[in-house]
Amino acid sequence: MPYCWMGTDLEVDLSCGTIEKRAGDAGLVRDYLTGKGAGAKILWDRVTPEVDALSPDNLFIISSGILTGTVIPGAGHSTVTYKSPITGIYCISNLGGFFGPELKRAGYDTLVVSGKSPTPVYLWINGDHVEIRDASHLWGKDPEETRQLVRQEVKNSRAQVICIGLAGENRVYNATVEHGTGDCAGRGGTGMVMGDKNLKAIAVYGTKDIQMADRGRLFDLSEIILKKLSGNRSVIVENSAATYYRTGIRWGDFCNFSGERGPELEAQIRDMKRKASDYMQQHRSREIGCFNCALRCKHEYRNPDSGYTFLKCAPYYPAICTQVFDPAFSVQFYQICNKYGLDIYAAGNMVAFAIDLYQRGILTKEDTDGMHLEWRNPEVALALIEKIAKREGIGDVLADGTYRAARRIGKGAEERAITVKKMDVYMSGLMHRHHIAFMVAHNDKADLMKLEGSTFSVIMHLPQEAREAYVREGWFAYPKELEKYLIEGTDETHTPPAEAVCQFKAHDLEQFALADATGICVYYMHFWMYPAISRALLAELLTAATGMDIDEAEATRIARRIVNLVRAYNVREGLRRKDDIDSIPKHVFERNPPAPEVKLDRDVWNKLTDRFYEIRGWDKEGIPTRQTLTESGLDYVIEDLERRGIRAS
Amino acid sequence: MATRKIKYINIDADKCSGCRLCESICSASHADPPYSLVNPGRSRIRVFRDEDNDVYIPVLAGPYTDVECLGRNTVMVKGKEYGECSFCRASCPSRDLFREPETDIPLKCDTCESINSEPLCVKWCLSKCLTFEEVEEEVEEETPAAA
Ligand code: SF4
Ligand code: SF4
Ligand code: SF4
Repeated sequence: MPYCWMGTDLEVDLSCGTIEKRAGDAGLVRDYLTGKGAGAKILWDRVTPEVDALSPDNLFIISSGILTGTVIPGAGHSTVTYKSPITGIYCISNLGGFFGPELKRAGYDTLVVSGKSPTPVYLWINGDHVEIRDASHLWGKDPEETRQLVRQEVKNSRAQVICIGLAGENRVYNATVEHGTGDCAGRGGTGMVMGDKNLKAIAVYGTKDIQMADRGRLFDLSEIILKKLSGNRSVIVENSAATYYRTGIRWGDFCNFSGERGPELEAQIRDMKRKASDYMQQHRSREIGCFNCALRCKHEYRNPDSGYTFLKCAPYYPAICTQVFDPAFSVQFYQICNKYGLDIYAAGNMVAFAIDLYQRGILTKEDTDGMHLEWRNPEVALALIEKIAKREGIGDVLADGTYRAARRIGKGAEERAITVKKMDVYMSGLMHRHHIAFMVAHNDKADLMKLEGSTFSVIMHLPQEAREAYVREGWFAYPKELEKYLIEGTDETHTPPAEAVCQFKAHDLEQFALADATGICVYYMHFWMYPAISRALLAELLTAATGMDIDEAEATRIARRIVNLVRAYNVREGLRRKDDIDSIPKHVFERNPPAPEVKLDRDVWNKLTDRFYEIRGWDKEGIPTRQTLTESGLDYVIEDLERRGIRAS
Repeated sequence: MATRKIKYINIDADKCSGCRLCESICSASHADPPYSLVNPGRSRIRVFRDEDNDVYIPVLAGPYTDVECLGRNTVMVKGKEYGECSFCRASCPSRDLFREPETDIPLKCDTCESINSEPLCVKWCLSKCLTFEEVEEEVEEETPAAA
């Protein structure tokens, strides 16, 4: 039996109110680890194309990484896997904070919630003792109140709690699962799935040991990680603010891609960079870390009224979506999203979408209960969020996410929805960058967040010397053969060579599969530009912690198995090449942007896709080939697909 | 006058990020065999967290007591009232803090002397919330050195 594996899964069926503890399968851990791997396998086995995302048969799977809860810095995450009500396909949301380690200490690697409760309930997992409790009195409470009330009721202030807010209760598509201190399982509709099951909260507490195999080695490796972190941490925050404002200007993607640009706006944006940095210095009351994390990327700000708001990176996104260049407004924006349990990025998009439509005359005062929607108006933005969470008036339409809202509104609104595979995507970064658009279009979750690594957003744009130093100092976390692309850099339009895009992309998918299967935060595995954990080091950590013999090649095999299983899952749901390549909003292929931007080119786009599929071992349609699946040990996938008339070539 | 070395672990709670690395490394390093497990319940340092009120206070395990206090006070922090026990260092029968799960053996911070190391929680606390100091203090000749 692998070390740091608890060996038991918990299943709660909310339709029948049953609780079942099941022995885990050590063989599956060997092949898929836990976290993302376990989630993907369970989803493949049980949430077939016949299961609608909003049916009781959809599952809400929380799985801790195999390394979660060990002594390794950064190993504290878990994953939520489910079929997304937004995209209708596989979805995963990463959860930081303290929930994953606590779930393990309670004795469980994975918690599966199935069915649907007739009335609001919450789960209390106190080690071996598991209870489904009435939550009718918690319905309508915000995440903070819910957390406090639940802790009081279970008489344990150390219990870790995740819950939904009003948005999840109201089946808002972009509702989140909130955990506190800025941690949530945010993107993809987690909160909607939980709300649909009438599950308000899950509280967990445990006192079991998490065992580790090779004692001294793990300690030494952990100290190496700490050393790497301590030298470079300080730049994390200040850098991210600067980068985002810079790229924001360059890409001209503000305000729902409305094309708003011009010197005045650019001056405002530049000024916002300074304002944000001043604001952070003055008002940041604390830096917060997840379990075992010395990087502490989450920042706490005191609210003017009461309580605290937590931000990651920089307060830039609300400004991109509203043209309100005031960091205090950004904090308020985050605060209100946290209070309702709403995805901050999607909320920004919905607000920008509504204002954009109004400005174009597609929405009128009659649709908005008399509200005049305009840019640079903080009250309007916050009022819209309020309406979305409560599903009031225009908010009820927007609460379906911009893809569905656009179809309800009609009149050309469809063209203005910035979505990829029906999901609201992060506005900054899509425009006129083949490689960035490509990353989003081909992710297993339509999302740029964390996916791009820092390679294309930061490192590639450093001066040649700095790039060379970066490699020399050992920060380059990709396989050696990709080094040359980094040294080569980008062309005058900031575009890296096509081959580099495909190679990095293929590698990133693997890297993030490993992060999410081990429970290591992506900041440690090259989302941030100074990754403390390379794949080689990860393999060593896995071996030392679990006692399973995993070298770098084996880690790669596991990563590919997970990536291919997820792809096959989406193929089984009907996803094909056209869904990848047509997923990007049309206008980025049509609009002529100002230099140095380029119009996305269909030809280039197709070639990138071909090459990427080829590297991944998928056919022209994006279906993993027989050989790929067999190599990944996924013969059962071939059989299932064939039974359904899908032939892997 | 003789001198002796006194070890201090100083806590600057304003710098605490609540990450609990200190709990992890303390429990791992003092496990038997060393580094065989992580369990905050076995740690000699516990972080009192109230994330909704910005309260993060690392508490180092102090001496064992076999009876609980009679009078209990409350402590106000940032306008919120907490039971005094929240910040108490004792391994005390009134609660399960600083006692090994299952065996109930009391836990006390030994500044990592038992494992022949510098204080590891301090070393691993990159926020510099915990710092270590050794001070020479004069002791009166006739006083037996306290354990
Ligand atoms: S880097 Fe941020 S998200 Fe990652 S573990 Fe640390 S605090 Fe959590
Ligand atoms: S390691 Fe330091 S920052 Fe982290 S919880 Fe402990 S005392 Fe606080
Ligand atoms: S000094 Fe050593 S024994 Fe004391 S709390 Fe820190 S790690 Fe534990």
